[in-house]
Amino acid sequence: MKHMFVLLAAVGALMLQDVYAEVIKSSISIHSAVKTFKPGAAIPIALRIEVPEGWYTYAEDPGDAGMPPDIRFHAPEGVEIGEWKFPPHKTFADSVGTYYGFTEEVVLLNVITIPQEIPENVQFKGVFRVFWMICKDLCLPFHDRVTLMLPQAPEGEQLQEAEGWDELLQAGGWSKEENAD
Amino acid sequence: MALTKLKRIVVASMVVGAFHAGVATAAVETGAAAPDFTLTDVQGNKHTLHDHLGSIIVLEWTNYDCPFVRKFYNPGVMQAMQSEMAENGVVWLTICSSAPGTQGNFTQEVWKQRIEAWNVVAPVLLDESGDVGRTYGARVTPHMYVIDSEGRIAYQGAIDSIRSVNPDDIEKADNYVKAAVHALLAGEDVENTHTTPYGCTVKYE
Repeated sequence: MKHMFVLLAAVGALMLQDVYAEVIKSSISIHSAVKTFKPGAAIPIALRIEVPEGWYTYAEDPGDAGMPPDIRFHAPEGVEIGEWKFPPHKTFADSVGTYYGFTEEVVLLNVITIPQEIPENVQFKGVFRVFWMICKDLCLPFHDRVTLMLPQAPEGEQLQEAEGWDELLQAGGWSKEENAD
Repeated sequence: MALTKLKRIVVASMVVGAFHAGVATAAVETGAAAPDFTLTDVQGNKHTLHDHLGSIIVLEWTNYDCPFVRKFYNPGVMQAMQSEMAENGVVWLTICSSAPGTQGNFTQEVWKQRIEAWNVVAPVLLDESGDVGRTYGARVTPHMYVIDSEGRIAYQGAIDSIRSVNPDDIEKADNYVKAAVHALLAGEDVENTHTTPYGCTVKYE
């Protein structure tokens, strides 16, 4: 860390978080439980936030500082989304306060509901604009946009589970039953 | 409250006590006398809170590298607030309690560059020991305090109602600092006197 500040002194007004942002990466991805959808279907989805080693991101209640992930959903009219579910968090503390969050990664769950009246062969497209923050002795903000696209299942065909869904839930500390709530 | 009644705080002794108690910050009470302090700004000028009594005073805890602070400075919102307040006779003091070697602590030269780059009009006072920050219980940046013309804490907490780093939220949010100052200027009661501050932790040593 001291080397970082020596570097900063040398580069004058360069912003510390800009220096970190060049080398520290955190990313998001959006997943659904199924490969296709049907009109009226309730589709479990998951937002995964990957956190670099040594950093943490915040829980729904961040504690004395920071902010929870800010997830803004944009989809065709009639598509509904529920409340995001957070897994149990870890607790961090320093001389100023106590904070709640996650290291390594966190998988947040939700369910989107497709309206009954939807033309045949129309794809579902939902866009998630996400603002999140990672911290250790300083904080870096991130924002990104991820898109979920699902084709409509042919009539008479069952919905198929998406590959890797179970593994994603397991990695996020969720059970299949919790996902179905 | 007469100016002579303003309680002077012996900051250093309080801080030593706070450390011994294992508590880094001890918030001041809303309605109580604002603890006096003298700090030097990045230009080398001394500022004593006591000297500004009789005016409404805004204290803003800052860390220029904190994303929550940049949310307000990058689009010029904080600077506009500072200018508006100055036009209304309000004193605005920005305080940085980042300890040496921590985020937001700069050399004098870097401070000048950063202030010039953002066209900041309010003086930035340096509190590297963290004594003043701990006395006020400043936990995050930006952590805001409004002091009425009689030297009492009229508001403390967040700058506004939306806990985010997205500048797009500024216009949608309720600005608690503006509301408090405008109420005081109009001779009215401050509606929200205490809110939960949001931001980055103050980088105390």
